[in-house]
Amino acid sequence: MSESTPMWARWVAGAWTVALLLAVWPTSGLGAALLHGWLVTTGPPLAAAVSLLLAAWGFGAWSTPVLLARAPSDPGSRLVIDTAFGLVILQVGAVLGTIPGLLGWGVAVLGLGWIAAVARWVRHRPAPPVAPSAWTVVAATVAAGLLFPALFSVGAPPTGADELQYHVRMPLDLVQYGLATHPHDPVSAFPRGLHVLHGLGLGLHPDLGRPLALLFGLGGVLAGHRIAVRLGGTLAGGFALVALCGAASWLRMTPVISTDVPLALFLGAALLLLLDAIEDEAALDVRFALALGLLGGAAFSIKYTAAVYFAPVWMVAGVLALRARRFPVAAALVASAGLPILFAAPWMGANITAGVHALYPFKGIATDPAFRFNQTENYGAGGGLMAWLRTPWDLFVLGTEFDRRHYLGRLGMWPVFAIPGVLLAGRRKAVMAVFAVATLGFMLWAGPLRRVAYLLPLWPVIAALCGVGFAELTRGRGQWLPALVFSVAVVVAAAEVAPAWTAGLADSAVASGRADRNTTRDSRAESSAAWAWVRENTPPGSTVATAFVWEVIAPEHRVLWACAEECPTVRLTLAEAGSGAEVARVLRELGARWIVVKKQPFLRSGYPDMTDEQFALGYERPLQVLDELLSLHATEEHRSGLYGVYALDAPRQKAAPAP
Amino acid sequence: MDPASGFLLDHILAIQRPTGVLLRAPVAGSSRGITLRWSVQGAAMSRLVDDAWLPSPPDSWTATVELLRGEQVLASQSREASPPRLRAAATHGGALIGFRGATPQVTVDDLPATCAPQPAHQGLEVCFVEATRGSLVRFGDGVVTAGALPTFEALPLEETPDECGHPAFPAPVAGGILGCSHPGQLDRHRRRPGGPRRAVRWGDEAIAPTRASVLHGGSALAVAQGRSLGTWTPDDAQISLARALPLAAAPAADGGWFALLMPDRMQALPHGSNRRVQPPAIPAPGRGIPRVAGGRVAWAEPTRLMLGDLRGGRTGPFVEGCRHTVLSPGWITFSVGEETVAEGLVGQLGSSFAVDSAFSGARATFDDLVAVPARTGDLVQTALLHPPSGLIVARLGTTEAWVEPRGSDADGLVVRRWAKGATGELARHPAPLRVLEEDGSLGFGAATQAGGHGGGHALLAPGEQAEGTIQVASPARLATWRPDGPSDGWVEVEALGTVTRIELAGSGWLDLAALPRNTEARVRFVAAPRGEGLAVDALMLDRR
Repeated sequence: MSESTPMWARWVAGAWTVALLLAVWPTSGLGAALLHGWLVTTGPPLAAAVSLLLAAWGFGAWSTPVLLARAPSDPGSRLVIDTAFGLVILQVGAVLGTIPGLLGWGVAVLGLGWIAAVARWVRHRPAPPVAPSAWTVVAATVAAGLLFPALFSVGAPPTGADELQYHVRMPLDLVQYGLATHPHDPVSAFPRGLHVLHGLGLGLHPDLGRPLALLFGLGGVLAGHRIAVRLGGTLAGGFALVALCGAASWLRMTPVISTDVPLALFLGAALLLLLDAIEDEAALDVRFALALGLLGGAAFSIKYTAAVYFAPVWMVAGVLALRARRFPVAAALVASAGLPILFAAPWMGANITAGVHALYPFKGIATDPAFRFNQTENYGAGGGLMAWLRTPWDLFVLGTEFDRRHYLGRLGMWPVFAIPGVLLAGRRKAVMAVFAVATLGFMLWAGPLRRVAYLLPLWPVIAALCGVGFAELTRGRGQWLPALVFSVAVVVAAAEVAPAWTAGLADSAVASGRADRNTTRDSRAESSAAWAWVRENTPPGSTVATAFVWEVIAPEHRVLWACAEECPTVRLTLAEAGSGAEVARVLRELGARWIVVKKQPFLRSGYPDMTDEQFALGYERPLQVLDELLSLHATEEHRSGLYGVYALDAPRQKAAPAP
Repeated sequence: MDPASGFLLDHILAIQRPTGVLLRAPVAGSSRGITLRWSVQGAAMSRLVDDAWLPSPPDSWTATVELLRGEQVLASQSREASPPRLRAAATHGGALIGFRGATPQVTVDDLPATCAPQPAHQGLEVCFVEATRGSLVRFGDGVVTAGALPTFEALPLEETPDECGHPAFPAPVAGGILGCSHPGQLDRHRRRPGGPRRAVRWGDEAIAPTRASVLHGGSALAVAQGRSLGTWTPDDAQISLARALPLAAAPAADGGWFALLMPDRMQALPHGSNRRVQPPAIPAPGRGIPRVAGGRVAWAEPTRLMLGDLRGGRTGPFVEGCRHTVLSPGWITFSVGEETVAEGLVGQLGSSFAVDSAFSGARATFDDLVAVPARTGDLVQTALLHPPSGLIVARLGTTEAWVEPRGSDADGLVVRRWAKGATGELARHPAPLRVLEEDGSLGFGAATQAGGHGGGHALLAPGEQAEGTIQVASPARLATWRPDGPSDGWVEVEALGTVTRIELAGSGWLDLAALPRNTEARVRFVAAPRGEGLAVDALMLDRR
């Protein structure tokens, strides 16, 4: 297929496909039922998510001309940038609305966005789209095939550990309790920029979380594709799509609510702006700096790790400004780098008001290594300078899903094959700039983060460079070599995503309404029996404490001490209390009567870098206090595997003689 | 649940408390529209909602309860005061004797002995007789074999307490320890300490701890996984396929029945049969695994304990607000508030123990003892309760090493002992001497009193038989206690495919057989068709 495929041929092919589908699906039984079930079950929340992004686009489409001296001419880039700006506006509005407790009225804001979208469409009806190139059509089809199970996964109930811990709960809490940080609910001290956006759309559909996550991911895919196209043409764009979607972790994480994948949209938008500025120095002005600050701020408000990827963007933009001798722009860039602090100010302010650390759920994080987050689980086994230097090889060549080196994911070997091509193309200024951003971001990630999920915001950028590399290696060698390499790449991509692909298909039953959503959730969450007991036996609205519990499945309860990984917050709280009796007193003061506990042994051998004293303080002592609490001051009400539900005993008093 | 038309049990439940006797008469079915009318002759009575309370009753009284709907009497029951008697239980170093009035005369192996006063318990004076293991302690008309319970000394086991990620496993099963290679995979069994761990499979897969429970006495494992249901021992797996097993909890089983608690119903089925019995009650969402023993099934609902009779179909709420039930053919034990209660299911006088055990679900039974966790001050111990006598015979655990029961088998009691906050270890308290009671694991003749541990005996009528099965893990000598009374009959011991008939004569302990390792022995007492009958009492397994 060439890029000059006549339009009539595409129409014929499309009509033939539709006709075939119409002929086959109704007679295939399962297919028709599946489609109907999916439309009825997953369609509404997906439509809600689409309408939220539509509102964002409506606001963004009007604001882009104001924010930028020169709007991007590339329609794909424009769509990404408009949507990202719109999300910035929605996020700021939602945060400001949450302060007086008005997030529940978010649908009204979305309504304004829809009006803006319609008005924009009517006023500036876009020109008929240019027919995409054959490479783009083929690559998009492949990408759609690779991501196909995501359509099912978005219809499944959120059962990821972080989803159950706070991504589902936080939007509800923001609507119900406002912006305040609860000092005993550590995750309420995290930045919640994504959750206010979810909160805005809760009125449309309560289950829009996963569909919205998918749309954010697709935004990242579009951004990555446009970056690749602008760096290396449509061939690069095609390769980039295959590499981007041919990563198992991208497929697994895209339909799952997380604060990592959404950052890709904002980072992609920022890089597209940077490319504009490179292509046309007139765009490298103060407004560009401001736009960068807004995008970085919104991303920072979603997750503080955004700084790891936006800092290189600022650095490269700064270098460009200095080389162009645009010192006011450089100064504006320095100033705009401070904008994210403003975006994070509401969260930090709420934390300070609640008496916890401005950035993190509790005080004293840096004071004692015994209570540092992820002391060993994330970094210990693979930490150190040599591990840092070896990271690309470890991750891209050796990396497997759920890797013993704690990468916990797989992105495939794409960058290894692409690097030579990127070096060939690196003579071009734009490629060099994006390569610098990706490399710096990767190096920063490999230090403190080192988990594949945390790298996903950068993955579309890396994949775009991979696409450029492949295109560079095959360009000018006839039609067959690119086609051959592309075919091999598709096979490799299919092999890469196969486990995640088949895992995603397992969601088809629940996504099409053939399996009950709550039953599916309970069958996948290991703590579901304990939480079912809580829901059935305790009054809605009551307060439930947890210890070493990651998952929370009690939407109508106030939950304290939910935690992740090795739960430093819980360990610190227990250690500071000093005795089971004191913990019981604290919990009674907080109004908690029930405690959900996961039995969590910590092996000394798992913390080789800790001293015995630190381990005793950070791990042994908290478990002693918890043991005292559960054995001497609480009563086991329910037990299911590692999980137990305990009722806090009433304060001891002399019992009346019972007959 | 249908409206009540009768009582749940054939007798009025009576519990001895320090200051009186509590009488209860649970009804079968719903109590809506039903009232109970109590009357007592020979003692003062006060009502406690549906129960009757007899403060400091005399030695003789008669209580009657009538089940009324309006003024219509649907059923009635009566109970007389249990005759005052001595109560006794073996301890590690001798025996505890409970009594009223003067201290009883006591002999140890027919030599006079001193009974040292102990703190009073449940309105009884208590004294302790020191005696070596195996000595016969006689008092009044009762006899106790000293030391017939697990030793104080515990032997550490190789399995770690949390290797299965489940509080009930590893656990003693069929003479060994059933554990896990990984959390959630019950797939390793070690027959003896230091021996190899053999792989365990259920069909083609490992057993999930949440889908299994250990039978009383650790004789086997009940499993319901996928569509398969059955019991497992190292030598045999009895698996049958079921239509569907959407269980809300692990299955429970005794020698005769499986109990299956499903989200919306309770079902039971006899071993080897597909004929399911469904007690006439729709269970509310329950908690914990059900219990089954002696043809009865018990399951916990959020606020009450349900009890059903699988043979007669009578089902109803047994008690409110209790936790952690242990059901045996003769007794039902549970925790209420800060006390532990044992009620007799065949008419025995029940007891309440001032043992705060509700905080944890860890339980084990060993012969006629119930092991429960007990918290006192800053300490968690394992209390060995003896329901027939109402005495607490031992407490295991110290401030440095807390102890909770994990399970039991023919060789003794297995506990988890740990320093506060630590995982700790599993350890076995071996039982070199076991005395099996009528009220314990065998249930001979459903006698209403305990025998060798300080009570009477059962009397088989001419032609009547009573039998029970004994699991032997280590080689042991089997003996039976010959009480005073009719002896027209014999004992048949069936082991390893051989039936041996032993004529009964004389009194005291009478040797029956030498049983090798890992044996299941069936003991059958047979009263001769002609004669005065046969007095049946305890069995002893001696592997000292």
